[in-house]
Parts: sequence; structure tokens; C-alpha cells
Amino acid sequence: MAKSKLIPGKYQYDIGLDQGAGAHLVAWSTGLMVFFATLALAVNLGLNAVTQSWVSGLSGSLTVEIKPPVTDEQKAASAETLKKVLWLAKQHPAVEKSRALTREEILALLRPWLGEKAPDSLPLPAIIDITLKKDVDSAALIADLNKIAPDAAVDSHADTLSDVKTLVATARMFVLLLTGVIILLTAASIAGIVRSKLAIHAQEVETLHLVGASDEYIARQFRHHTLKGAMKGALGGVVCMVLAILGVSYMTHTIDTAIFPHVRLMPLEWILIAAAPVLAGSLIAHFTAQRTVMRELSKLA
Amino acid sequence: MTIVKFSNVGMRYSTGPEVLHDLSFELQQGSFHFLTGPSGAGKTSLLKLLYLGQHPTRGIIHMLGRDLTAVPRRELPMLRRQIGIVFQDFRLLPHLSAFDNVALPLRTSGLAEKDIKRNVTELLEWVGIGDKMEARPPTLSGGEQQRIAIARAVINRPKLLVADEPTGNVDSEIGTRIMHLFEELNRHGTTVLIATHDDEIVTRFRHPQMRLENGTLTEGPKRKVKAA
Repeated sequence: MAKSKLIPGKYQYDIGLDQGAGAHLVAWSTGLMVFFATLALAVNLGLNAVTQSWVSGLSGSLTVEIKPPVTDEQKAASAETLKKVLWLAKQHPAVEKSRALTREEILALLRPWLGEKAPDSLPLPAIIDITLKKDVDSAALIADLNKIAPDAAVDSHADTLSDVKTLVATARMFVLLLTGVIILLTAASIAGIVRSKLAIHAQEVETLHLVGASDEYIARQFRHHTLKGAMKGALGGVVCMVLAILGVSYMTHTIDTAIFPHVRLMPLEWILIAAAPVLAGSLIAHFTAQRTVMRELSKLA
Repeated sequence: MTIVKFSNVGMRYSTGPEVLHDLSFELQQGSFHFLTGPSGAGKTSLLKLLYLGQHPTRGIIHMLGRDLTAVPRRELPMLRRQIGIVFQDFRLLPHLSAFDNVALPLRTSGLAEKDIKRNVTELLEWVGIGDKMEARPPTLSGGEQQRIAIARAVINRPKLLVADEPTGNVDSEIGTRIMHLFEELNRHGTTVLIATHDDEIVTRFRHPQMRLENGTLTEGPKRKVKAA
């Protein structure tokens, strides 16, 4: 491989690798793979952010539910229990803040089941939302609550948290597996393209050998061509993916954050999304081309 | 000094019949031979063995002082750089200019670009292609392509030059100039072997002949090989 006499600074291949119908196959193939790898990476980072949002939202709080009173006697007991719970929450060192939900708020929670017009006579439970201080053990508080209000249900969201964590861990595992498959597919497709190019240019390769070119001299041309194509394709793939992420982000910005927390990536994460697939795609292309060419050439006379 | 030594060499392509049988001969440094024989006699196959394009299926070949059976693959390029080849079908790389085609053996040897430019320009002018250095082979005539192929073969001042019908596509004046170029190289010590059907060239340039018939050497610098 040499610098062209005609265009200074531009590399010229002895083998016609950058000509013909398949000249841009590496770029297309790598571009497509990098698009999917970037998608997988973005989904992974997104899942991480969503998990953190859900976990921090759930793990720092307790919900106390006092059964809905039916009789007047129960109403008085329920009011007494509510007072006790609020008093305890106010005194307890583990509690940051606490408050009882209003009737309207409770009705809003029940609206999916009861509809817009719930009867005024409907007995409702009392619900107390307790926000815990950071990094405190809620076990003592739960024990104290159980003592003063044995009939109340105390929900530390442990089951929900566990389910969310399991679900997200499974999804992330699947995404990781998918990324592995994408990497393998990229390497396999590049090896296939390089092999076909070797077959297409077999006579040129033989001529180069016969005029004294070493395997390394020939491999360098394939390596350079593949790396250039892979970098072009990878950049294209990343640009498409970033545009897709911005598009999805724009379309989902109106969704309730309680259902779908808005994921805000840090600058470093954006750099990771942009750079890692390009770097990985290029390195995979480079080493796959080198290995494939050297292996195929070693079979020749 | 012996440049080429064949001892009981035979060759076949894949599982086909043997195309060369029991060839035993030596080519000394500075010798000049014509390789003649009818079509299908095995001339091109013999040239392939000489330019390390094929392995013999039996026998031993010593080339430039090395037993080829003992030469590891990574050292073959070094040996090939000492052999100049003119292919019958030229084997020029179609997307490279005339200049870059001739420069190939120098580039594979790692010569500096300024030396490559000087040497290639000089040689292309000598073979009459000085004004078409940037032209690509498909745009040139058969004779011009052949002269580029010859320039590529001799640019490295090889120790052994093998040529398959080098005057086949050129007029007699260019043919004569090419033969003089080969003789000039030969005078500087290059061993030359030219496969040709051109009786006029063989008669005019009185060099010894090696004649192949049905894969067997019937005339030439044979050497006696003791039976094992």
C-alpha cells in the first residue's frame, strides 16, 4: 500500500478493495451492528436509570394503611390509630416526614377501580405516607408501628422492590446477551466479507505474492480498508441511534414520570454511547480482518 | 555459481496427470536460455516452478542457493524479490497506473518513494511508456501492457528472470529492444530464461535452448543425477 502519486495524502490500495459493488459492505454491515449495539447500550443505561429512580422512590418510604371503618365505633378507633401513627412518625428518629393522604388523594388512587363518581358514604382506609431518612434501617420503625397499630398494614415495598429488581436484572442480562450476539455477528460478517474479497481479488493477491509481497504487506491493505469502512459505518450507526434516542425522548416526555421516569443521561454516558460502539466496532473489524486474511493467506502456496 | 538446480522434479496439478517428469538441470549465474517446445509441453508449468508459483510434487529444487523444501513460508517473499517474472497474460493490476504497477516490487521491498520515482520513471521512459505513466492498463494496447510487465519484472535487477512469451504482443522493433534489455541485464549477471514460440528471436539471438516435449527435457543444460 502506498500514497498515491495523484492525490497527496490519500492511500491507494494495490488491490482494488475500494472499487466495485461490494466496496462499502463493511461500512453497511458495521453501521447496522453499531446501531443495534448502541441501542442495547442505551437501553442498558436507561434501565439502570429507571431502576435507580424506582428503587430510590420505593426504598425510602413506608405506607401505613388503616382499615376502612364501617361502624361509628370503628371510626373512632380508626381516628385514634391515625393520631397514634402520626404522633409516632413525628417523634421517630428514622422518619424524615410523614403525612396522611387526603380523602381526594385516596379517591384518586382508587379511581381506576371505582370510576369518577365514588359515593360519599364509601368507607375509605386511612393512608399515611412516611418518608424515611437516608440510609436508616426501617425495621425498628415497623416494629414500633406494629405495636401501636396492630391492625394497620405497614408496607415497606420490599416485595415490589424485589420484583422490580429481578425484572430489571433479567432485562439487563438479556440486553447484555444481545450485545454479545451483535459482537459475534459483526465479527462473523466482517470475516465473511473479507473472505469474499480475498476470493474476488485472488489473482491480484497472487500477483502481489509473486512480485515479493509478504502476507503482512497484503494483510495491511485489507486491514486498512476494513478499518476505514468500519469507522465510517460505525459513525453513521451512532449518529442514527443518537437521533433515534432524541426522537424517542421527545415523544415520551409527556408520559407520567411515576410510570416511566425520564432518563437523563450524564455527559459521560452520552460520550460512552457515542464512543464505545465506534471504538468496539472498529477494533473488532480491524482484528477480524487481520486474523482472517493471515489465516487465508497461509493456506496459499 | 548455480542459480537453479532441479533434481528429478515432477509436477502435477491437484490429482491430474503428471505434466512435468523427472526434470534435472542446472542454470548457472549469468546464463541465458530459451525455453522452447510445442504448446502443452509444460513450459508454463516449468516457469511456475521457477518463479515459486507452484510446489513440485516430487524431486528437489535448489533456488538461489536454498533448498526450497526447507524454506519456511515467511522467507518466500525474500526469494521472490530476486526473481523477475513476465507473465504471458501480463498480470498487471488494472486499477493501478503504469507507474504504480512497475513500482510494486520496489514498494514490497520497502524502498523509499523518491528512489522508486527515479527508478520507475527512468525505466518506463526506456521502454517507451514515459508519456503514459499515469495510464491504467485497460486503456493501453497489448504491446504497451507487455512493456509495463517487462519493466515490472526487471525493476528490481533480479538474479533470475523468467519470461513467458515476452515478445508475443509487440512489433519486431520493440521485440528487439526488449531482447537487448534482457541481454543487458544478463551481462550484469542476471540469469535469463525465456519461454518462446518465436523462432526468429531464437535464431537471431543465439542463446542455448532448453526444449520441453511432453513434460520432459529433450535438449538443454541437463545434469546427471545418480540413482538413489
